[in-house]
Amino acid sequence: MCLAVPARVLSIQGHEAEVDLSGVRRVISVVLTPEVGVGDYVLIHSGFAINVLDQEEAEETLKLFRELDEFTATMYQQQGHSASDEVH
Amino acid sequence: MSNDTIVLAHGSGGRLTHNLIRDVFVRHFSNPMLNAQDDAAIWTPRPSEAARLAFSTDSYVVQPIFFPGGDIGKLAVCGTVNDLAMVGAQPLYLSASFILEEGLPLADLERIVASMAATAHEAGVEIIAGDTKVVDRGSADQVFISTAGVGVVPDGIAISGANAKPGDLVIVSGPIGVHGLAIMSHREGLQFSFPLASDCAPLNGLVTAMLRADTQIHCLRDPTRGGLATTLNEIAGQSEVGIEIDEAEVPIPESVQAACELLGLDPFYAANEGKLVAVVAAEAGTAILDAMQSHPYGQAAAVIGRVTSTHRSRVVLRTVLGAHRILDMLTGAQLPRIC
Amino acid sequence: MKYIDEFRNPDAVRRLLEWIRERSTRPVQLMEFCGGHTHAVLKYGLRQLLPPAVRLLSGPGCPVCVTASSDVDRAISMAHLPGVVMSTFGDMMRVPGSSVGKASGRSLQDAKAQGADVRMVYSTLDALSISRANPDREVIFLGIGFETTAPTVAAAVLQAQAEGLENFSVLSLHKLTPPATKTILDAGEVQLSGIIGPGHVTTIIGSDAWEFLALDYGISCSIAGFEPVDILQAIYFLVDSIEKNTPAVRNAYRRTVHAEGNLVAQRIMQRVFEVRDAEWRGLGNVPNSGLALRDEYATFDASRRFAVEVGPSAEPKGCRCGEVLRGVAEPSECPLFARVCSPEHPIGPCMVSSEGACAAHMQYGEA
Repeated sequence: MCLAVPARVLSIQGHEAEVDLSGVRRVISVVLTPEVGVGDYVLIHSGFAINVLDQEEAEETLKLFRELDEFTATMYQQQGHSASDEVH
Repeated sequence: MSNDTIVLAHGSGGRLTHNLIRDVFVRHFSNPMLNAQDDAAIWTPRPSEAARLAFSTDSYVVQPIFFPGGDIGKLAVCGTVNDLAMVGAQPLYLSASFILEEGLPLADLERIVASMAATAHEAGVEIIAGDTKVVDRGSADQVFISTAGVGVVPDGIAISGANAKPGDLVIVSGPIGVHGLAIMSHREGLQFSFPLASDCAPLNGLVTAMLRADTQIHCLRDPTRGGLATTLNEIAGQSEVGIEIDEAEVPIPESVQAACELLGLDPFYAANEGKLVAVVAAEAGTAILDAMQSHPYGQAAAVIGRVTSTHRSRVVLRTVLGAHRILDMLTGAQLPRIC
Repeated sequence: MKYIDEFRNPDAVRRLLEWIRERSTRPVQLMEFCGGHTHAVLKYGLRQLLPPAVRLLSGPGCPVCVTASSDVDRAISMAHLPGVVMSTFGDMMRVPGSSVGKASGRSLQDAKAQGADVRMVYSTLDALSISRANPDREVIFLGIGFETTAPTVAAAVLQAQAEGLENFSVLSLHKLTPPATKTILDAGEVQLSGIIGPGHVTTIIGSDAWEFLALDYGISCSIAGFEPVDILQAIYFLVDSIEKNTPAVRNAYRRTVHAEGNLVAQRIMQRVFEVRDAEWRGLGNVPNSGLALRDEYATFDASRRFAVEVGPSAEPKGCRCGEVLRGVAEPSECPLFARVCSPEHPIGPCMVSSEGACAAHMQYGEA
């Protein structure tokens, strides 16, 4: 079972938390992530938070692509490619 | 006998029925033909009216009967008005038949009927005939409504699901998935910081504005049950053409996307009750799009694809990543996935 | 949507595809174990975008698809018991059991049409709510899913125990993924260069749980998330490991996967469930691959509370779901695919589940 969605924790009351995904809110159980805090992002599956997202790691991964962005854009310019070439 | 809920006697045809009709239906729907309260309404077609008539019928059993942005009554009026508008007809008159469950609060019925009157007024139609039955508690889900409507089709209009031609543009009148997700979210207890309300709306005014801009509209359809994907497949099948849709161009509100992620649903299969899909001749595209965007119900209208002569009867989606895949019709009900 | 949109970024996807293309010098076969990956790969058209040398096979990671037909029959029989409310995730509603043509119905959806009280829920917690609201009814929750879902069901059982709920039970059909992976590799039916590992299962069990792939089988594994960027990054790591001839287990879903996983979730799962052998559709009996409620929780175990008779699992004639699940056959190679077996009239589970390979191929078929 694989569908899990990242959402931000707005408030915590005991074993439950209200989370927000782009303005849509839901109450879920945080029994499996007792370490969670307000402002954290959690992965939600089937009404439960199954993990707290490591935002630093997420940013690292995204940063990697942003850096590659500049590198490849320069490389492409030098080779005369257009950055919007279709991928095939 | 309680006088604030519907009881079986309300459907018996006697005094209670007459009082109900007088105090609720006729009071809200009031118009000369209905007020006459004969067994049938009679009217003489106006000389200016075209020769062709359009006729449509629908039934409404939605649960819950009241939802953000509307109710079963508004849905019923819009549904039939829109069916007529989708063949290019100007809707004139509606009938409305009610099957009421014993125990339905009168206040609820009145609220629904008032909503229907307001929607009919906005659409410029009159409700000229109706019927009321009451069934035992448990035999109906609060209220079922059935509507039928008649309209006139101006000369020269030929709008049909079978008329799409390769090269035509596919336009949607606004963001999709709103009604379906508003209902599902309401049922599942999702809250919204900006509440998601049904887009339920009468579209005949929009269609009139579009036809005034250019009559080269080949197909019109409102993507209700089954969503945008199903409607596009219907047109592709009827016209025996291919349709290619650019996923990046399809307007989907962020709240609908987020609700879909949370509920495991796909917005392409969610119902819309205030949107239409138009397939128009390419050269008419700009004029029609402008007219739509100038109308309150078409402000976010967008070209989302085109009709092709390849993949006949199939709809192909160009994904946000540039790959192509088939966008199939809905099979069964859309069941939310956990996997 | 934060942490979703960024991982669907077309530019990042383009870049990853370039890396994969540049790095890849030989044909490789990768198994995407998890049905969620099958679904995402087809939804975004990733197969078309990948170089032809990289071939993706679907695996048995669809918990709906691998539910034995006799287990489906069991659920249907229980649904028909007087006073029972059968609560289930939507995914299981239309899966056919082996009771073709029999009175009880082919699926839970059929059972519902025949009058059984079958209700779709999003979470086991919804089943608990139904129990509380209907003390005179017996509420059974159909527990399917792998290690992502099992802890949530375990938590619900503990909640039911804490509340003293007497009318709630779980029919546990939960299964474990590493044993099934071993079974497929041991069978030697498919040549795999690498495995795309299930990102949410691994969030729970930890990436260390997959080290055996590199150590014992010499196969690389990349733990992947479910957005296009995640999947392609995982494929890049796999191609890279294969090119280096260095089998390795790499984490391509670092924002949620860690070496040891979610220990709280694992403890809760282990407290309520014990490991048993289990029957997997398509794989047969897989040792130590199923979860059953421990004796301590017998009152919450539907299989002990409700005795129902079911026959052995039977597969519809001609159905090749088993081979599809093992990666041996493509959906199009099944004689029933798209002819007799379609989403409207599914014969086998691969066509019913939205992440079954056959359903995904039909719905998102390449164009």
